[in-house]
Amino acid sequence: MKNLDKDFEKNGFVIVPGNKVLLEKLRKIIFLSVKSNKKINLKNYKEENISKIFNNFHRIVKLKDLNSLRFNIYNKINLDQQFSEYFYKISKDYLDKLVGNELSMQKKINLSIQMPNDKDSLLDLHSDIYAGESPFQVVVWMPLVDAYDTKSMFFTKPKYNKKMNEQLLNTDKFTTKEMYNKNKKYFKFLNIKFGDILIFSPLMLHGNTINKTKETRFSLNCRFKSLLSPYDVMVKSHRNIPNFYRPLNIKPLTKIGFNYIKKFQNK
Amino acid sequence: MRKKFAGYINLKPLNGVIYPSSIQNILMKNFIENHLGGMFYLSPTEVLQAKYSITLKTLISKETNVSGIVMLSSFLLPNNYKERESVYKRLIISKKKMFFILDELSLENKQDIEKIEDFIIFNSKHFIDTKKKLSAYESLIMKQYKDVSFV
Repeated sequence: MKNLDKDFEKNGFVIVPGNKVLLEKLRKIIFLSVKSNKKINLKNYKEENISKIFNNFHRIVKLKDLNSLRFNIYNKINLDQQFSEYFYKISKDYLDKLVGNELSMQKKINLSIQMPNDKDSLLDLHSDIYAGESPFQVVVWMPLVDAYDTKSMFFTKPKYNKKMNEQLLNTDKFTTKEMYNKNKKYFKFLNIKFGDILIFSPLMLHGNTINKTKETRFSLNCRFKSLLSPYDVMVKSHRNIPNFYRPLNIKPLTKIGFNYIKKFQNK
Repeated sequence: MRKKFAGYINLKPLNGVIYPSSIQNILMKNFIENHLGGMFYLSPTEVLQAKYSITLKTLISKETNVSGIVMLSSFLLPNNYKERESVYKRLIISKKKMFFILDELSLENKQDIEKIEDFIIFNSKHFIDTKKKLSAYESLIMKQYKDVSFV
């Protein structure tokens, strides 16, 4: 992508094509995990049509059973090293350009499943930075089905983000829901087809509302940052190594340099 | 018969986070039983006031009859490089293993020492300090990028 860095700096996010073969592999791993659950009946669906299965997941699994199933899949994918490798490879070329090639990766890849009309799977208006995450990181968000309208997430533009950020940090008049409703016109739902991925800054306000479409959304998200850039910024949190991040790759000169310091620092 | 593993509690901050002993116990018990398939034997707490890690050395010694020691992170090993070297040496001699839950690493033979030492790099000031302001030089550099901001 030619103007990747300029687009990111201008908008706070980019939507870019991912490696579809690897994205299919991620979907397959999740599908197999779903299939291994004996309570789930997939006889009306063809295995090769994972999009159809995921989009119609609310017809397959009851809402009350969703969270335990999601946790079960979450635990499995996070034990699978290959899953994490595929996730990184899908975004690698973009991360190289936006962040760098010596990286830390969030230890857990998150899985969201948002069924139509589910009021309990909402992430109200927020910036990840408010939860102590590093402004040096990016969030990589991968829909596993087409995401559009309320099946997707809402996102704002940098100029509105600045204004609303000030309001959100300094007001005691609104809840985040009220703040979103008051400023709705400054947000739009991102349309992202399966095969594309979203990469965004944790400084940008975003969130979701009740999914009013007729389809279920499956998506994954994970955070990456330059290995050597600051982890805790302005406040101390747990968003660091080894609590939240793990070093994904350490270059030889980083090892050599820091081991040199380590050896002589106590002398 | 299932092997016995000891937990090692250390209440010093782990990159800013102090895990209460109850939480350390839950994490270690879960790891030993579900990940190692072993038996959770005991979990003494390191003496915070001591100059050297006396509790850890006791667990490694032959006096403590366990197959290995489990702790939250390699960041809880002694800060001093020489003291760590001595811990590694004693561990290898006693034929015990050491497991670091959050790091997803283990020390099971001599070759693993380098892996652990490479990870301990991230316990240095560069990685654990909270960045609260730019240096004069950073401020100067960033002047030309002042428009690239979302807040």
